[in-house]
Amino acid sequence: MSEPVLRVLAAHPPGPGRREFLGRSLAALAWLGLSGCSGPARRSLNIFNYSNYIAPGTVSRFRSQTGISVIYDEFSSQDVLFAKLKLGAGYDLVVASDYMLRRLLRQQLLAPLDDFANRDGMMERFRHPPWDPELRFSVPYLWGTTGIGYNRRRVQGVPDSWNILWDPTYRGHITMLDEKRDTLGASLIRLGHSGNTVDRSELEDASRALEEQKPLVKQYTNDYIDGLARNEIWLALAWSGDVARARASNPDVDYFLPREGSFVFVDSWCVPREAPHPQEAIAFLNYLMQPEPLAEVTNATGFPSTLAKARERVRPDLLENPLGYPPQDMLDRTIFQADLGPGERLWDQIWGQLKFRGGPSGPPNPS
Amino acid sequence: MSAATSAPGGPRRIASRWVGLLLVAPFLLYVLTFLVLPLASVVVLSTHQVNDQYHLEPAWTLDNYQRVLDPENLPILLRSARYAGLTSFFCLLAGYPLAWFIARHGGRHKALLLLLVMLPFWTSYLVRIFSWMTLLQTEGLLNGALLGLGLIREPLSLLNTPFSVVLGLTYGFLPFATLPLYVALERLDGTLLEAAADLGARPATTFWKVVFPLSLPGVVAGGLLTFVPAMGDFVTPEILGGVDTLMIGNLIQQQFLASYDWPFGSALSLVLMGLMLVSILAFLKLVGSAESLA
Repeated sequence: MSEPVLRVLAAHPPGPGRREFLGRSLAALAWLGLSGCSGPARRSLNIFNYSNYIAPGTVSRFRSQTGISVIYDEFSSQDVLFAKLKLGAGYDLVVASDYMLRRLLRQQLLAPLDDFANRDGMMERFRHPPWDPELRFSVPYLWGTTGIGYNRRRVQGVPDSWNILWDPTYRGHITMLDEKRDTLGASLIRLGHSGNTVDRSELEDASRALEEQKPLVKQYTNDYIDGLARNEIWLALAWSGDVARARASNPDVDYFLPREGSFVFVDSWCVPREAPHPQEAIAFLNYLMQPEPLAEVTNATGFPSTLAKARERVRPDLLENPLGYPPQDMLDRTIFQADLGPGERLWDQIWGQLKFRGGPSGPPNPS
Repeated sequence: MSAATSAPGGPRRIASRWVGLLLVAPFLLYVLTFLVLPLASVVVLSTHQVNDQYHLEPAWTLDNYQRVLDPENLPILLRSARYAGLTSFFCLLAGYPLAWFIARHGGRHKALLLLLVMLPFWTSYLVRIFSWMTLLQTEGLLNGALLGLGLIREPLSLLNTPFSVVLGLTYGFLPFATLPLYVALERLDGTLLEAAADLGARPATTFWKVVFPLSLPGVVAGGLLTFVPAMGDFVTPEILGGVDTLMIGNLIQQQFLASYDWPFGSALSLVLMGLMLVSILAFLKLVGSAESLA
């Protein structure tokens, strides 16, 4: 081996830059194990929530009212939450979406919330969810729909179908969600299949359609609020509240639920079984799950809350609008994302293939 | 005991051996804790399997390696190598003049200039990559400037392309090429340049016949120090990339954070590590023999 090369390598270690880089690439693993090291002396609470899923003042007001210090952490995808909870990351309170909640319950990763009593004002629709009928392990928090956020000035006409995401006119200005359930799900529904299917050939149909759509798509991403607001993205497979946020800074942004059908979701607070501070978690829920703080969250995030009374204090533009509280006939076209059971591995596999290798090979399904 | 005392050197030598061992112990412990153990656990993990209930099961199988070797993974590996290779090339191309300037014309400001090269690292990489979005987007600064100057009529689609990924990587890893090049060029004996000029060599000839061969160790080190991290990066393609520009790092990250397939992710990382190690050793050997020939 070349001796001068070794000399240079040895004499000049790459410096802090490299270390910073290494740190970053390993961060994904490192932080899995390192969170939740707070001392026992002070009352504290570790929260893990979606990004953009709380009002700016919520945590600080709770802190000043109760003296409990809060470590507030965010994720952008449910799968990250799962990976961290599997490792026992030391969180006291997390937000889980419906299908993930089922998986967490099946794996017995959650603690019962018997000390939390304030379930009375909950909207009827969310009071007995199929995954936790008595709400023993979860407190429904915010809900919304999956639909299409679009720019009224760049998109012609009033779109009403998923097909618009396959329209070559908008090449390079379309984003899809980096979330298998929504992106594959939308493609399934567009093709007339169930958004919760575990049938391989139906899933491959949906994946093939997405493969065909790829040349039009800018990115698979959950970070589209900014792009919509800055006219960079014209059509986005999106969650309702996010689009409301984009519209707050750009009135040209609008939202619709495709006529073929779509998804409704509800995200719930849960306490992991290994939570070090379950009492503080309950204290936070008692504080948050009231009309005033919840309406504040809705006004800030654009996502409606599950508490019926909070509705009275919500911004008028979010009421009776598909962006906030959609009308009943629209909601009737939406379904929950069901627990796929063992079939979820198949979704993972097909999604991974689509994202990295360009979809399933071979001729299209004759059916 | 008697064998020990009669050994050449006697008890003193044995004692010094113990002292030596004691002295390296912290280092050995460090290597064991931070290199051997994590690596061993990755190896063990790669033989596991995930069942339908998303539980990890020790299966002691090599299936995950078989999945890695699936030809379907080849395109993404080649794409990563292509992006990393381009990154190395552009880092060297941009880093060389920069390093030359600092080394030969930096004067008493050398230290300051080197500090400036490192300065970007004081800001988080994530923030810096995000700011490239602002520069490259359709209504961004670059398109605005080009439109304003009348050089283009329609804004260019720069973001979410292979171009933006390689640009981001090059930007991110440029200092890793600059520093070794600086070291090599700084050591260069100025009288050699004068000698070449006296013997009638034009500047270009001097560069290719004298300067470049002498700076080769810096070029090789800079190339490797940019290629290796660029190959494993996942942040840049995720933020600046599009639907068809994801790299092997993203595939690994996906296994750990999205698909919950740690065994496959571990096997992927190990195979990638092995591939990199072999190709780097081969490359260095090649360069070494080329150098001794010259």
